[in-house]
Amino acid sequence: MTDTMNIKKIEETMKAKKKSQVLEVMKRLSYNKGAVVGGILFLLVLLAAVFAPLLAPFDYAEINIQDRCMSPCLAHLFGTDQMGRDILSRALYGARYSMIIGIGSVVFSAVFGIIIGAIAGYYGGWLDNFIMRLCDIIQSIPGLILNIALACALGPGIFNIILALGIEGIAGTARLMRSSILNVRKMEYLDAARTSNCGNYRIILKHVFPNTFAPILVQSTMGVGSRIMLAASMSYVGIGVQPPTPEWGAMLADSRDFLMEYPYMCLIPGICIMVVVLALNLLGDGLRDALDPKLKK
Amino acid sequence: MDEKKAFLQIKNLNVEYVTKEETVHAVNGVSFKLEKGKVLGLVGETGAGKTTIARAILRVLQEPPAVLKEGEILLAGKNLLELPEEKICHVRGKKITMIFQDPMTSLNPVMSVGSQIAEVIALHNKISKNEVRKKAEEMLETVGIPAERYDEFPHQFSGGMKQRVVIAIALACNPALLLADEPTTALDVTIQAQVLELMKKLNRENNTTTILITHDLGVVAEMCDEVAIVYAGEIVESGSLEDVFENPSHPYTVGLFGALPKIREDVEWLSPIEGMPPDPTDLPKGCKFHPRCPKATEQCRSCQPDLKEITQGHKCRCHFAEEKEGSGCPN
Amino acid sequence: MGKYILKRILLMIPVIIGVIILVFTLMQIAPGDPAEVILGMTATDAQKEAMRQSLGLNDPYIVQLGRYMSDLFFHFDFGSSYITGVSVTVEMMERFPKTLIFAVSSMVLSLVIGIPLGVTAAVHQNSVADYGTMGLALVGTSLPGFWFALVLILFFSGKLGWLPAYGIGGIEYWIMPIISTAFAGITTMARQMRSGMLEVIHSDYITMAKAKGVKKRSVIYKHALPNALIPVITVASMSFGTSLGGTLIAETIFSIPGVGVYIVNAVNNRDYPVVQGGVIILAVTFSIIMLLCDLLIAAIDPRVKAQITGGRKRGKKK
Repeated sequence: MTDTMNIKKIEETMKAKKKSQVLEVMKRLSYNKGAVVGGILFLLVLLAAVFAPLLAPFDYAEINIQDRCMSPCLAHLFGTDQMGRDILSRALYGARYSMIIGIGSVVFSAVFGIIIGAIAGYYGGWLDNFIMRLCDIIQSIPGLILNIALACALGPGIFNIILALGIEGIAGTARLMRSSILNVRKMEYLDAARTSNCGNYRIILKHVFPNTFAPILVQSTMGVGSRIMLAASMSYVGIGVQPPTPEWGAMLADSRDFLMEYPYMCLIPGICIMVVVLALNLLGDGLRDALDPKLKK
Repeated sequence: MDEKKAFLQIKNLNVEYVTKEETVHAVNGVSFKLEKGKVLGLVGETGAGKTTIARAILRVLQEPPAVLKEGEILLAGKNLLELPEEKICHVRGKKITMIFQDPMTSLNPVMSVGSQIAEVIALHNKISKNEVRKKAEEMLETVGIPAERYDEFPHQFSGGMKQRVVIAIALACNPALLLADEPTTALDVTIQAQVLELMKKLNRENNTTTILITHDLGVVAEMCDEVAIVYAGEIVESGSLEDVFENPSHPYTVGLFGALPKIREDVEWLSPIEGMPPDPTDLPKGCKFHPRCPKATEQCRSCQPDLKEITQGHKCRCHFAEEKEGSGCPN
Repeated sequence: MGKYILKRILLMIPVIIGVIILVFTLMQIAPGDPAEVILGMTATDAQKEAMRQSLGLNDPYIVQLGRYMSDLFFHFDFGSSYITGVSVTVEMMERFPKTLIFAVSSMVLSLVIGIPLGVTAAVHQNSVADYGTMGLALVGTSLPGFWFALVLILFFSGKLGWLPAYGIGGIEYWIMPIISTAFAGITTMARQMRSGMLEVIHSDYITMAKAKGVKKRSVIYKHALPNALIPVITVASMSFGTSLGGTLIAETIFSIPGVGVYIVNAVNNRDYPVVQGGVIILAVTFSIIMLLCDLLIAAIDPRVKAQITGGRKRGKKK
C-alpha cells in the first residue's frame, strides 16, 4: 500500500519536475540574447513565407521587360531582375521554398532517423549491426555529393529535393538516437523502471525519448539552416530547384551572368540565405546551452 | 599563538563564483593561522568551501567564474596574492603543493606518468635530464610504485596508484606547505591507510606543514594537530584536536559527532543533522547555521555571531558558546 | 599497430563495396533512358533498343551490378561517358589530382588558421579576441560558400581587378577558390578548437599542471593543446567531406576542370556512368582521409593506442 502511494508521489513530483524543466529551459533561453534575436528573425522569415502573397508588392512571376535590371528604388525596394521581375516579391516567395525544403527535409530525417535509431539502439543484435553498417556506408559519402547523387536518381523538383536532403540526414539522426539510447540504457533509473514492471514501449516513450529529445532538437534546428544552404548550392549548379522558380539558390543561378553589372541581383538572395541560416544557428546554439547547462562555462 | 610563529596566515578570505545568473558565496571571511610543521584538518560538508580555500592559497582558482574578492594569504609573512604571475610559479610546486581530490582526472592522459613527476622536478631544480629522471624514479619508488612503470600512461594505473603518483608530484620538491584535498576519499579503505601513513611519514621527516581537507572525522583524529570546522564558507569552530574533539562547542560540530556511529555506545539511531546545507547563492541572514540548529533563537536569526575564543586557542562562532553576556550584538 | 592498420583497411573494403552498390542502384532507378541520352531525341526505337542491348542495359540488375564491380575491381574501369564516349577512368586521372589538391589545400588552410584562432579565443575567454572569433565563426557557419565565392569574385575581380575570376593557371587562380571553400572549415575548426580547449582548460589535470608551477604558456601548449587536439582531428576529417562538397560547387563557379564540374555537368546531362564513377571516387577519397585521421588519433592518444594493441603488458620485465 505505502509502496504504491510512494510511487504515485514520485511520479507526481517527476511530472512537476518535467514541467519546471521546460520552463527552466525557456527561461535560460530567454537570457540568451543571441537565441532571442535568432528566434525573432526566424519567426519573421517564417511569417514572411506564410504571408508572401499578402506581403509581395508584385506578382513574383510577372515579366516586365521595360523595367528590367532596375537597381533598388522606391517602387522596387530590392530592384528588378533581368526580366523585370520584382526581386522583393521573388525573395518573399523564395522564403517559402527555402522554409519548406529546410523544415520538410529535417522533419523527414528526424522522423525516420528516430525510428530507425531507436530500433537499432533498443533491440541491438544483428539488426543494430545491419543498420549501423548502412549508416557507415551513407556517411562515408560526403553530404553534398550524396545529395547530388540522390537528386540525380530522384530527378528534379522540390519534393525530390526534400526527399534527397531528408534521406541524407537519416543516418546522422539515427546514429545520434542510437547512441542516446545506449547511454540511457546504461543508466540505473531504467533498471528501476524495469523492476517496477514498465513495458518496453513505455520505457522508450517515457524514459528514453525525453532524454534523447534535447540533442535531436538542437541538431534539427541547426539542420534546417544547413539544408537551406545545401539546397541553395545545389540549385545554383542546376541540380535542384530549377529557375524560374524563385528559390533563393535558383535566383542566384539566374543572376549569375549579371554579377558584375548588377551585383544587387546576386547579393540579395545570398543575404536572405545568410540571415535565415544565421538566425537558426543562433537559435540552435542558444537551445544547446539552455538544454545542457553543463556545456556553458 | 605568537604572530611571528605563524607560518601560514590567512586573513579575511572572500571568494565568490560569479556567473551571469547567480553569485555563489563560496568562502566568506575565513581567517586562520598555522604554525610550521603542524597539520590542520579542514572539515566540512561537500560544498562548504574547503577546496576553494585551498585553491585560493595556491592561486589556482578557476577564474572566471571565481573571483577573489578580498583577503590576504601570508606565507612566512609574504602575501602570496600580491606576487606577480611569474613569481607565483616558483612558489607553486616547490614551496606549496597540492594533492587533488580526484586522482582519476588529475593526471594528464597523454603524458607518461614518469614525465609528469619529472616535469615538476625539472621546473624547480637546476639539474641535468638524467638526474631529473633518476629523481622521478626515486619518487615513484617512494610512493610504492616500481620505477619500471615510469613510461606508462595514467590509464594503465588504478585509482590508488594514480593518487600515489599525484602524491609523488606533490612531494617531489619537498614542499614547505602541502594542501591535501580529500586525498583519500576516492580510494579503497586499505589504500587509504597506506596513503595516510605515507603522508604522516613525510610530515614527520620533512616537517611539512599540512592542510588536510576532509569530511572524514576519523582521518582528522588520526592525522591532525589542529582542526577547523567549515560551514557555508565560514569557519564555525577551530582549535586543537583535543579542544574540538573532546569539547565540541558549536551545534554543527556537535551534530557532526552525533552523526558518527560509536562502537562502545549502544544507540538505536544515529542523529544526523536535520535539513540541508544552505544555498550558497542565497545564504541565510544571521547565523548561517540557524535554519538547522536545534537551539536557534531570535538573536541567531538576525545577528551574525563572531568567531570568539572560548578557551585558549579554541574558537567558536556561536552566540551560546559561552555565557551570553560576551556575545555583544550591535543589533 | 601494423596489425591494426591492416585490420582497418580490410574493414574499409565492405564499406566501399556498399558505397558502390548504393551509388549503382541509385543510378539504376534514375529517370531517363541512357540510349536516348547517347543517341539523341531523333533516334528510332529500333536504334535505341540495339544500343540498350549493346550496353547490356536489358540484363537483370544483378548481372549489371556484377559486371560493373568486376570491371571496376579487375580493370579499374568505370565505364565510358554516354555523351563523349571517353573512358571515365581516363577522364578521372586527368581531373582528380586538381580536385584533391584543391580540397586538401582548403582543409590545410582551415586547420592552419582555425586552430590558432580557437586556441586564442579559449585562452582569452570573454575577451575581444574571443568575441571576435565567435562572431566570425557564427558568420562563417551561416555563410553559403558558393555565394561567398561570388562576392569574392565581385570584389577582387570586378571592383579591384586583382585576381582572375575563373580558369586555371598560376597560384593567383587558386586564391579565391581555396579561401571560399576553406572559410566554413576555418570557422568550424575555430569553434571546435575553442570548445575543446575550454573543456580541457577546466579539467583537473590543467589545474594540477598550474599547481606544479608550470608557466602559463607551457600549461597551454604542452598540457592543454595535445589533449584538445585529439577530438578536433575527428572534426577535421568530417570537415574534409564538407570541403570536398564545397570544391564541387566552387569548381563550377571558378571553372576549374576537376571532378566536381565533371559530376555536376554529368548530372545535368544524365550521363550516369560519370556521376557514378565520380561519386565513388570522392567517397573512397573521403573514407581514406577518415581512416588516416583515425590512425593519427591512435598514434597520438595513448588510451586509444592501448585499446587497439590490446593493452600493453604491465611493466617490461628486465
